[in-house]
Amino acid sequence: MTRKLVVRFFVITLGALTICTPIFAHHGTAGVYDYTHRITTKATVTEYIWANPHVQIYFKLKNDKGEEQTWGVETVSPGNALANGWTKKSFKPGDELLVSFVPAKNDRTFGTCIQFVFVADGKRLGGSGRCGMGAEAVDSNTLPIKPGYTAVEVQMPKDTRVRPESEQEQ
Amino acid sequence: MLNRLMGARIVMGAMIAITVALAWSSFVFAQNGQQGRQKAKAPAASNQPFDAHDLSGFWDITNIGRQPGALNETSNNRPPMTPWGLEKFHKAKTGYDGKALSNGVFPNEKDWNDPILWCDPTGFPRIMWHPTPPGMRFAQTGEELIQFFENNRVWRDIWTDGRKLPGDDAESRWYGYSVGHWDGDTFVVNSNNFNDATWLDQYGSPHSDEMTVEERYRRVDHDHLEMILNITDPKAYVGTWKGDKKIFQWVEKPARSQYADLREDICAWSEVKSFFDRMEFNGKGGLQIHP
Repeated sequence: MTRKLVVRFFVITLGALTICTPIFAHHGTAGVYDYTHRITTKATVTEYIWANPHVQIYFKLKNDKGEEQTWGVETVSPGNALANGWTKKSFKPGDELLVSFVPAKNDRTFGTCIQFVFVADGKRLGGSGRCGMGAEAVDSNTLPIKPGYTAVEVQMPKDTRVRPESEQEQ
Repeated sequence: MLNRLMGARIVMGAMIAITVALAWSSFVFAQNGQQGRQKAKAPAASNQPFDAHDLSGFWDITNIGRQPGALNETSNNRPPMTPWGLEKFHKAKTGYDGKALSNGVFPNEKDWNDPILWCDPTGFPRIMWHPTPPGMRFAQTGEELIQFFENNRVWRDIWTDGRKLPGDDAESRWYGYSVGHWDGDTFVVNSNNFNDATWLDQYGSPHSDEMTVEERYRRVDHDHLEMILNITDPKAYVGTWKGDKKIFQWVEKPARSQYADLREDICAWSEVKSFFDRMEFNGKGGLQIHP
């Protein structure tokens, strides 16, 4: 029992320290994103933009009503994407993905804090799900699904990759 | 050159002590969650020979040795502002939580007015620490030290041919005008003739066209370069804004380029506008961002 408590303490403490690791966004985004929800579902890439200020991926997904929507996500700058191992050919239209991200507030179909898994080969790109700055810092993996996207939720494979300290995720 | 190499050996002899000091300060830093791309950690000891008067190469800024809570700024110890400086500062609105240096966090992006949002030049000295990571390269010639930046592919000429700083009737520039000289093993840079259109950081700290900047660089070993940057601007601040010691890490091949060079990290307004339009910055109905 004591051992379990000790282990739990260390897991929680380590998790909190990890979440609180500051992530430096290119531009401040306080107030833009809803860091209380995530969307985790299947998607199909429609467009991949390799440009400043942030690399963007656009994809189609379906909501609980079966309606098809086009969402976009911002990631890091192209330079940091290169340092993270991405290239301008990492995605192409038609790629089938599992995606998990934090949506913008209100009805804006845009997101951040993205995690990708390619359906074809299980390849993973993107961050660990830890994002936000200051009071908004969060582990998105622990967030509830945004209402309207609960029925289309998928399970993301476990992310076991150890990231170098220099890797910028957002 | 021989004397310099002998001097370098002496400097190398002190390297272990420096490394220990850096390791300790890095540990302290890491416990306090500093903003920045690189977490503080002890630099690997370098046993390569170096010339203390040769700053050539690619350099990445680090958080090594910085104080707990240090922001992306010359230091958190910003002096009090003059009424002119305060008036300008209170007009600055960003989404950053700058804590010690903040003018408040403005959650509605319609309010944001950071000039780099619409691709105004980042300017000096902000380009030294924001946007991160500020990849930088020094190249030396007989008459100047050239400082190249990954950010917007800009450069500074730091003249070492004995010329003086220009008078206050000279043209103001986004990156000012700079001259440099060696003070022992410290390379001292003095700059003036800045315009007043840039911010000193992402928190909106202002400056005027009366700003002068002093930088002091010292190569402590092959892989590490110390820098202290002091800002004096009597129109905006009461007293000099004294900088913390920054440590730059020598980089053989910049990781953010596929060509082992400084990549083109250019803010192109057409690209940025497209991004803001697509993400519905300021909401649906088109881009309303300044200017």
